[in-house]
Amino acid sequence: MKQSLIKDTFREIKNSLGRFLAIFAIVALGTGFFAGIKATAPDMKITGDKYFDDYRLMDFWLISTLGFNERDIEEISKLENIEGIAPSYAMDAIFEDGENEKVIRLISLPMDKIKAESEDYINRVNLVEGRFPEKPGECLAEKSKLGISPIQLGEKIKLNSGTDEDILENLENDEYTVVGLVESPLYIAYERGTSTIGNGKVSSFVILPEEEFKLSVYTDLYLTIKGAREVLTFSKEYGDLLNPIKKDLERIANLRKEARYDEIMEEANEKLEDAKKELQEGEEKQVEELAKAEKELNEAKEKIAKGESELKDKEKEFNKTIKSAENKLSEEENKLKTGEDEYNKNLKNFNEEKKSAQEKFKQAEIQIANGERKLDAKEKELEQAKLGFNYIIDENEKAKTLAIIEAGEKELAKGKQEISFAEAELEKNKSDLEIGEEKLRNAKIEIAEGKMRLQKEKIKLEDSKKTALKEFEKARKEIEDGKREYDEGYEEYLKGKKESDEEIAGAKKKIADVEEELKKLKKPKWYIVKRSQTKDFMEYEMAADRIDAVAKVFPVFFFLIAILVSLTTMTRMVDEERVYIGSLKAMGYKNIAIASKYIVYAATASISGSIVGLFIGFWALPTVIFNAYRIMYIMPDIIIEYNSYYALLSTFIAVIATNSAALIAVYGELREVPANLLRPRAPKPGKRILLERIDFIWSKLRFSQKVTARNLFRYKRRLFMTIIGIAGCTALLVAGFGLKDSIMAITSKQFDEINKYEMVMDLKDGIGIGKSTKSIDTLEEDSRIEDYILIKEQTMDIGKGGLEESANIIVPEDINGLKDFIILRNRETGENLSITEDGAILSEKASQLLNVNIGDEIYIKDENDIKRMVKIIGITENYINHYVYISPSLYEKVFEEDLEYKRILAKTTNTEKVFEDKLSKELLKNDDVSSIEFITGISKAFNNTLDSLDKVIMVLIVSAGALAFVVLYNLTNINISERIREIATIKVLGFYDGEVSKYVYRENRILTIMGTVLGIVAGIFLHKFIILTTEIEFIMFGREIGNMSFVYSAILTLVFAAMVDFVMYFKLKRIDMVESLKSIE
Amino acid sequence: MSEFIEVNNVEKIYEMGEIEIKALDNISFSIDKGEFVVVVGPSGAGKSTILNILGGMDTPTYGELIVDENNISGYSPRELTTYRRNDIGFVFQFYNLVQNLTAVENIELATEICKDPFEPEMILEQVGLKDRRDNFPSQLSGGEQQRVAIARALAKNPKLLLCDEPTGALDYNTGKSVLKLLQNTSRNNNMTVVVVTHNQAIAPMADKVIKIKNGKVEKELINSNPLPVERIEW
Repeated sequence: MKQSLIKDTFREIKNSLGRFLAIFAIVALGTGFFAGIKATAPDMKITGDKYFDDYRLMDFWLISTLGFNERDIEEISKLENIEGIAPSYAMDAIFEDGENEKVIRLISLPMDKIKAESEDYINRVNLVEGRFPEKPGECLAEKSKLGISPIQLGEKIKLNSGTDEDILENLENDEYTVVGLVESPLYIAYERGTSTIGNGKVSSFVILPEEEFKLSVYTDLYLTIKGAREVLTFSKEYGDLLNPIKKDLERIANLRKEARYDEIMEEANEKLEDAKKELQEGEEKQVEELAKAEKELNEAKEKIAKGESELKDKEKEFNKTIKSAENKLSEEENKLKTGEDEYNKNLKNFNEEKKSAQEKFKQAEIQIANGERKLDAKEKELEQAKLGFNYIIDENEKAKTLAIIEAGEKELAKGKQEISFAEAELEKNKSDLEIGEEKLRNAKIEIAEGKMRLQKEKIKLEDSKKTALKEFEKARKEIEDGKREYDEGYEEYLKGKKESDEEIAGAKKKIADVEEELKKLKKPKWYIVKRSQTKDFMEYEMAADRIDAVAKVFPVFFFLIAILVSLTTMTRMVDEERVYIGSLKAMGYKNIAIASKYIVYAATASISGSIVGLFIGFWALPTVIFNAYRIMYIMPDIIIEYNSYYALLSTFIAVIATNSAALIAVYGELREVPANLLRPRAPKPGKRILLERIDFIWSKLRFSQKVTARNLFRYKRRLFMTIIGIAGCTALLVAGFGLKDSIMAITSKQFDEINKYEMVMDLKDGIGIGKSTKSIDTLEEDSRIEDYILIKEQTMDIGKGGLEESANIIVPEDINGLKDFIILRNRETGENLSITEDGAILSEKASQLLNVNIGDEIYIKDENDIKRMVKIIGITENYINHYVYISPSLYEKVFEEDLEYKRILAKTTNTEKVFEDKLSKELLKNDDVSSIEFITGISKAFNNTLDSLDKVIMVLIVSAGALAFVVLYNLTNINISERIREIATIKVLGFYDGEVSKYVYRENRILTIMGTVLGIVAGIFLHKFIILTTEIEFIMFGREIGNMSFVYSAILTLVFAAMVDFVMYFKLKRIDMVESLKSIE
Repeated sequence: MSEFIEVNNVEKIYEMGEIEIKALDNISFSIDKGEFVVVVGPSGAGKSTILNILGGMDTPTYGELIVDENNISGYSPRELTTYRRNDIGFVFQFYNLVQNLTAVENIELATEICKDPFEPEMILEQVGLKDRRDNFPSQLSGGEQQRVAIARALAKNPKLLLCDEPTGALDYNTGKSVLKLLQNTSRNNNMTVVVVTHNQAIAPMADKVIKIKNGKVEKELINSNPLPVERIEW
């Protein structure tokens, strides 16, 4: 290329910067969008791959129905290609979080391997906050689920098993403190799986040090494979690497499940034998013990009898003794009485005697006193005599006197003697009397004493009687007690006998059951799950593939339009340069040299456009889309890969397209001789159009309309280019908006049109048909509840042929009342469906996935994996999840079990959050309520997850809009430059600026409208195609595009057209009228 | 008779980056109503600029242009458009017919927008193309095309008919017939006609000849006895 040509080429770029930039921009948009969207899925996969590799997500996940023991692990670790092997525990537990019961999956973490960074530390956790557990009773919780931590750092979680079993059987503690928040490569999506406890839905995972588990065998076994990290986990190579190892694992599984089965059987049999032996021993012991107890009872009985007879004897004897004692007493009493009588007689006698004696005494005393007095008188006489004697000198007289004295004295002495005798006798009589009195007194005393003694005896007797009676009483009571005790003992003995009989019977039954079970015991099943078969992984892969699906059509379409437009632009450029080409040719430049200008121009524009487009596209689109997806998936920042394949492919197509357009155009010109080239090309002749022949229309058209009409058909290439370009952009917009509609329809249709209830209340225990419970009564009375219905809802696998899906089986208590809560209808005809006894109604998406038509039979797998056949009598419109609606009687017939309702759907009078919170709190006070959920909350959660896809769609819409703008700009630009002379002429003719633009734009507008209309039609097809390739398995997108979406797409296209017109208005204004004076080029 | 068009001390300076090009250097002349004026000069003398300024397609940098007592030089772009629309008829060297319109439609294109147009059919008859009315430009010869162009200019009933090298793209005889048409128009309709050409031979048929050279009026000749076209040869 000559220097001057190079200069000219770059000046050309500078001077026609608008056109250059148009090609540049459109190529940039096209390649950027194409490559960016195309690269998004691979980038997502690379990001996922790196995350999974970095955190050593297992390549194989082994689960055994009987767990893994050391020997299982040993066998597997013998395999050559195993890099790491991590036996692990997992179990579900219930966490009482306030009023809510949540099911939590507990997973073990090998604390010793974390520090060692051992390859055996698989499914590593990313500690985001806090620290690892250091003490017993500490755990890790998950960091984020849809951006929210389900369990907070520092929270104490109290666990129970959710079954009758004590959780401490399997765990060291039942309360754990969250000391760290983590992310696990095992859980990257929203769902945490299902469980057999609680509400059956695992809400979150919690990680415990391995030591906290007390399970006898490992439940899970994670493996990593040598070399697996080096290949992309979503690639075929990865599968190729894993497949032979899977075969090896299957081989081991087959061996081990036999061996393990035998081990278990042996062990169980041994245990069974032991149990039997124990039972036998127990039985023997029971017999022995019972015999002993019986003997003891008998002995006790004998003893009681003996005690009774003894008591009787004693009583008898006692009675005898008492009687004799009483006899004796009465005898003595009698005696005493006779003694007393005698005494009294004696006393009487004595008193009589005494009286007489005393009288006698008195007489005697009187006699004595008389005697004494006489004596005294005598004495005195004597004295006197004596005295007189002395004086008597007469001796006779003296002697007489003396004789008289002497006789007197003798008589005196004799009197004296007599008196003393009498006195003595009186004395003696007196003392006799006294003695007699004494005697009487003694006798009285004796009697009194006897009486007293008798009294005493009597009292003594009474006392001894009393004590004896007391003793007897006591003895009797003792005997009674003994008897009672014996009775009780006997009863106890009977009870004990019964109990131990029952126990033995129970044990026997248990053994029988175990034996039965053992008989039934299947060989353990090993599930060998590849990383790529886990739910979250698949979901993520599907998400990436979905983007890939969008990337299949959308960007290609987009790119094609871009290429088409840039191609047109290049062709037009060459057309404009006809004279220049002629001049060069006339000067003797070779064709290749002349063409090289356009090649360089086109190449510069397309290559630089591609580079900039790729640079932005590769970065922006995956980032925006991935960040939208990160709301749903827990993933690190995206890894941008400048995918050379898509880069080269798109650049190549862009460059080839623009350059070949340039080349074809240039060589088209170069075929002519220079002289011809230097002459203006003969203008394209005007032609009558078909419309002119339809006179009644044509004659009614205004002049300018005629011009427009004719112009439209004159420039057919431009017509088609513009229509296709605009239609393409409109179609992209329609598809984008339509996709948004379809996604929005999921929640709006599902939660506004199909689900008519607001509240879902789960009961702790199922209730049978016709039964009620406290909380239902509460609902009945609550004025905030408009209506409610009892249903059974259970997730089961359903299928037909080789296809299987997981669906919710719904059995309403009242099949006629269901229509007030869930609308069953045909989506297309709107006809309402109802459940009958003949068959079930299936939701639409499931019917598509399972290829089920009305009248077909599907199977429903019950809890025991038994396939129950049900006929499908209707297919109902449904957007989220799969459902099978069955009538109660059909359910009971098909499943051969009694129906229990556990869920209540209710309509409330209000949907404000405050209202719902209050209602929920109050209803949860009923202790038979397990959980309460409101549709508003569910629908919000759903909207969140769909928002991410919505953002992807916004990207599409914005891109389509940008493309629409660039395409319109470019086409208008071409239109104007092609007609610049004409425009200059009409300007000279005195058209005002407005009239000039009208003159030019009228065509544009018609083309735009035609393109828009065509685009809407094309958009419907594009939308349908994209929907079918993008749809997620358990979700059905809305099939319709909202009217507003058409309106928006059309308006947007027209707005872009108007914006282009606005920009072009100034360009038109700037067109120099002098152009009209130039010769035709 | 007052002067219909007055060009007083008009200068036109184009600024091309840092270079100033003086296309017109203090030009003054006047044209009477009904006059047939020929502006001649070599290429680059500035005659196209004069035409542009007279036609309201460009404005003078200095000086004034008065047409029928209106000072055109002070007009806004919109006023200029109105001026072109109602007062000016323009005949281009390359006819500038809209290819997609038939002969009569090309005329209608002009008559549609102005205040007091002639009937297109009548004008077409005047230029002798009545039976070609429904032909597209590509179906007409060069002379016929130029006649249509003239008809288009005349149909507007302009005050001033400006012709840019009207014969430039035509052969001799056709050129002559076109000039004849222009001269007749001027004579018969008292139309002021300004023809810009580099062809000196045309000058004798004009009432007034303005010779331009290097942006200046070299000579302004009044031809009291213009020759009929038939007598002109080149």
